Amino acid sequence: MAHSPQPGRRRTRDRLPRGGCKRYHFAMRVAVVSPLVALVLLLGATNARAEVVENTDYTGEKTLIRWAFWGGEETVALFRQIGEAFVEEHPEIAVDITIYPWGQYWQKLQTQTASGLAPDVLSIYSSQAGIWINHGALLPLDAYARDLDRSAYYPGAIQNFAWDGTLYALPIEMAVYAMVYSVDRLEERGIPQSRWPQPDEPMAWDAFKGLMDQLTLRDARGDLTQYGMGNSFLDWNSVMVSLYGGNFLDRRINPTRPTVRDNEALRRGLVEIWTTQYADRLLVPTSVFKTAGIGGDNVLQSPDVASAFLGPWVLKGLHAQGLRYRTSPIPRGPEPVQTMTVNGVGIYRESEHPDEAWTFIQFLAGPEAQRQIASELRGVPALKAAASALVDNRFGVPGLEAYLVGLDEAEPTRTASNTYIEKAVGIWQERVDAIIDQEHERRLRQLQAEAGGGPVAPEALVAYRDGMAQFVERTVDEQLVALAADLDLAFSRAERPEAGVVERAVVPFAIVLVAVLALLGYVLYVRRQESETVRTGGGRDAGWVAYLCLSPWLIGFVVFTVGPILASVVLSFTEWNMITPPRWVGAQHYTDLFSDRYFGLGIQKTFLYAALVIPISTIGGIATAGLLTSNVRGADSFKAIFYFPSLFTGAAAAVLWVNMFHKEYGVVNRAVELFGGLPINWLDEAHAFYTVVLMNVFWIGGATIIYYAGMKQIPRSLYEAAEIDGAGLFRRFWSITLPLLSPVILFMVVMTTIGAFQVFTPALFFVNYPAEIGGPGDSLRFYAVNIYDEAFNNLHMGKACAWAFVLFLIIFAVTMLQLKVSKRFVYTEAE
Amino acid sequence: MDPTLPRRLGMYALLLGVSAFLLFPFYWVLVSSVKTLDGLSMTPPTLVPAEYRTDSLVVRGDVVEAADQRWLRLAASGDLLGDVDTARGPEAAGAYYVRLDDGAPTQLTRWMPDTSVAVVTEAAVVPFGAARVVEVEGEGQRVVAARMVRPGEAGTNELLFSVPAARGGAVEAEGLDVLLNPAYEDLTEIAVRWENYPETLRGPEASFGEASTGFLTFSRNSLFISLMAVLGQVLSSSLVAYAFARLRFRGREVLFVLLLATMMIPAQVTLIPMFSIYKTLGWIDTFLPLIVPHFTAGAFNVFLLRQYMLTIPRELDESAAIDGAGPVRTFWSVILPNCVPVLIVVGLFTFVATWQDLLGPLIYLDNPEYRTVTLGLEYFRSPYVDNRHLLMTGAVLAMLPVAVLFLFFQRYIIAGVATTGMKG
Repeated sequence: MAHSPQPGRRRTRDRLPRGGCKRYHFAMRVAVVSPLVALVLLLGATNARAEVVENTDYTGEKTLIRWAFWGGEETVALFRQIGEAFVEEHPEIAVDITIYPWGQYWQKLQTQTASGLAPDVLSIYSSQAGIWINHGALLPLDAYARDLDRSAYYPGAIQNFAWDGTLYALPIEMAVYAMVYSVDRLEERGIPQSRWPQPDEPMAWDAFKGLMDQLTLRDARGDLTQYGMGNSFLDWNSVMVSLYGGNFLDRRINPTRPTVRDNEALRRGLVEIWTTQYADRLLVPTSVFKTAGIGGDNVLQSPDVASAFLGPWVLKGLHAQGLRYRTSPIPRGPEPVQTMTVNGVGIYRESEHPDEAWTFIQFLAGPEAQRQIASELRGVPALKAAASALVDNRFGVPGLEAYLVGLDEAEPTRTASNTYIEKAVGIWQERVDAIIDQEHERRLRQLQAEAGGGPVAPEALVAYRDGMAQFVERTVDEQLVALAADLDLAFSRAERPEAGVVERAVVPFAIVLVAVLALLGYVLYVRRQESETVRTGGGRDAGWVAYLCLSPWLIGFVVFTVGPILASVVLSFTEWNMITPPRWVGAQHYTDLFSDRYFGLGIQKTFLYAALVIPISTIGGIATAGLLTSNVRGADSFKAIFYFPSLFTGAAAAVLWVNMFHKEYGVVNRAVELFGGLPINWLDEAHAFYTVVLMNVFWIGGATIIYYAGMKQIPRSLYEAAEIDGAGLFRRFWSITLPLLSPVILFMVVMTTIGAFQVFTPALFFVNYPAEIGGPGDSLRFYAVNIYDEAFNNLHMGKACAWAFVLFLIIFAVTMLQLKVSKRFVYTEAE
Repeated sequence: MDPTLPRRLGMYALLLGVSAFLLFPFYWVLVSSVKTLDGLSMTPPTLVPAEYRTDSLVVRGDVVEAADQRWLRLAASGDLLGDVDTARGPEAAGAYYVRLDDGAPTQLTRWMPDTSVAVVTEAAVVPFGAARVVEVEGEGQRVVAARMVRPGEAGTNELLFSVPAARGGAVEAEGLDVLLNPAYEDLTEIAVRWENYPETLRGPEASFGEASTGFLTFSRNSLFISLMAVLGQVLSSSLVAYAFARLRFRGREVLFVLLLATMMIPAQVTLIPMFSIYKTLGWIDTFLPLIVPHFTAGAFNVFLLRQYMLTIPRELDESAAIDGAGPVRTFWSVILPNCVPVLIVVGLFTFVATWQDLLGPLIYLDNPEYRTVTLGLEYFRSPYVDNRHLLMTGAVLAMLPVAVLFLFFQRYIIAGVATTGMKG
């Protein structure tokens, strides 16, 4: 800090340093320039490390292809090895392997695709495959794959990427789940080995329930002390529904209509699952299991859990920790259908090296790479011949055979052409699960309250079971009606009628005309005002010097602002998926706005958020600033403390907030309990919105500082005079502080409003990755979140641009309104 | 006595309370950053980094063999639950055993009938290296050799095989007290896992045995980008603000409103066009897209600076003009030195915002050597590995420079924003 200016503390604290002080001038130059020079020099020395895998023994010409994949760094090591094996075999090809963070992969890929920088080989997974295939991002592989032996792969894996008979990607790994039982728990319950679940044979559903009943322990009050099954993410639900033969949609790949109405198999499956979970209480309640962060795979290490539903990659850790476990395939219902998700690799349609890319993806889906992927225990290989490598994996982890049972009949999970369809089902399941979960908890608590804290009578528990089973059945019936409507809506979004002439030409023209006229009128209005101010004051006309001074902003404004904004306005009249060229649809996106559920929802959530956050920031800020100005020592330190939490707003802090608000191990609930409240699931659909609002309490520091500065400007003599006149504390605040502070309040309210209307980052805290943004459920569907979701998850850039333009108009209007209304309340000195 | 003293004391109490509340997230992230993964998920959460408290205990008793495994006999059943075993009926006689793994006790405790066990070693000495210590209601602290849950007539029964903590040390198996359905609480003790820091610093790849781009490289990249951004904002914003505050020119008001309007544009939609522009310029996978825009003045900063400049007395400009200084010279020698406090605020806000930015580095950077702190942290997240403890540590490492910087410069902030929005 030797170079930083050290002005006298007394001076900077309350008063502004004034006057042409030479020391400042010099100190500032040194302070700014010297560390930067040092840094530039330091950084110049950094050498870039390219991530290209190539065969250095081969000196001939090489074709470079690029491949992008997602994952943590555990992925890097494996794929580099595979890449090395590939260039060994194909020295004429070099591969640039780039791994993007899990969750950020799509966002990255979309920006690249949109600007022609997409890699030659794209990685896709089941649920996103539909969108990318549907938008034409992938090259059809049929011409290449004529000689490919499709029967060498598990049929479901191939099926996942075959849309209407055309193959778009090769499967490389599958996520399959199996039941994993703790041997300690099985032994503890004295279950004879002969009745243990078998790795090579699925249990029948009723036998499974019997086993779960033995592995679930309850105390006298009816609370569970050991869970038969310790996780219950909603995948489980969809798997089990399949086991009962029920399907939400007419087909899994590119569905065309919902099959929810009068679907007895689906209804029975859903009722059975939720009855088992919440009436029989054999599976852990979702609210207990669910964590909003990552993880949850270590569930089996807990002594309170007897079994879990896990992927093969988890066994590695269990085995390393010496946990004794037993695997078994997912239990089977009367009409078993197992589902799996599939990761695949395809060729980008604009790739300049499709032949080399094909050679590469064939290698990835070939025996050598497949065996490596399997041996590493990432997932189940798509190539049947490599399955043995999973069982004989390099870690010596036992029990993998359970993952291979019935794979020939397994079907891919749902893959639709837009995310609304999949999301409609997912959100519905989550919501119904929460309804039933809450009811189950409520009824249990009531039962325990009636028992006065003592043991709950067995008859009461039986009555609970029957009542809850009825509730489940009733809820499923009610909610299936709502789901049918939701799905109809989701499908109607997918297929849109061609826009008419009015929409295509007349309305866009009118919009542009109105915008231009408004701008012109505004310019004329301002010019009149301006000429008045010129007459009344202001400096001399600086001419070109002024524009020279403005040039940094003007250049930036033109290049980085006007250009993109004009582009986005033009794009708002098109349908653009960032892959194929934009198609003119005119004002369709604007005329559609009001029939779009998410538009209304976004407006509602955003206005409510602003309405809650503005008072928090204003009242909180003024109150804390008031405390600080009331003649306390150490105001400086308190200011610093108050501002401190505002440093924790970025995405890096997400893990902190999630940890604090977690239902089970979160410290916020601990505080709630200390005050006698029941634990709240802050991260679920019902509470997430208010949790975000609550977080703003921690972020009032910025407002504190600005209000404090404002209050310091109010002359003390006014207060002294008022005190002599006998004005009390409240009276002084009301008649002096508030009016004199009003310009600052206005400034802060305007700034907070602009910020609140664009709220986006906190929504990322609540989901595992941005493809799920808006969740849990629809709870965090702020307007800006919808814009992001449309653009980057649904590939509707045109629509997103239209929505953004509307948001801009809304913010502009609200700000203008605030300025207008405030004229009556805000105190101005000179008039 | 000062009559205002009670009121002042109350005021301080309030201030300290609010401070404690607002500082809590920072305290929490610091504490969590040295917790173990298990410690992070402890219910209820502990206010200090903690693990369950353990004590060493040596138990001498008979070791038996059953189901090809070794077991240590803890206590005969008969008199404990009366029922003995619901699965086999009350007539069966048996005992409670804890399973041994290579001579060391495991968590697995069970009841077995006498007929199914064969004694291997009599009076074997079994060390319990890390026996949990619990606080039993009315019984004080106890060291637990084993515990088990058994189904009973109404719900479950829990058995706690333990000795008073005061006795500790070595004990005969018969000497273990067996408590039936005790009300107890696991005791915890402070356990700090400093290794979180070196592990995080080595970078995300390190936990997989790969050569890794370390956290220090991330920090250096972030620092460079952030400092360049600060430099850019300070220079360009002040120049632009000067034009708006002091110079008269045609279109000033219109341009100023335009400038303010740019704050209202949602960033999501200009992202793709921006990316295309940078691609055309050949700036992808360089720091340029993250730095250069900062040299074109940010609207908020211009606004802040302009408001401040309006409060600087015009007499200063005029005296400079008399000395023959032009507008640029006036800016550099008169206005800028007077703006130091607010420039520091601008610099600080810019630094914080740039340091915390994830989207920009994500979109524009590919090379692992170029990763920033926020981007590097993302690689700790993985669907395959639970790294929450390292993420917490990473969060601290990511916040620390910003926090330190803030503490150094916080006293300038008030002076800097003092006049914002008040006039003009």
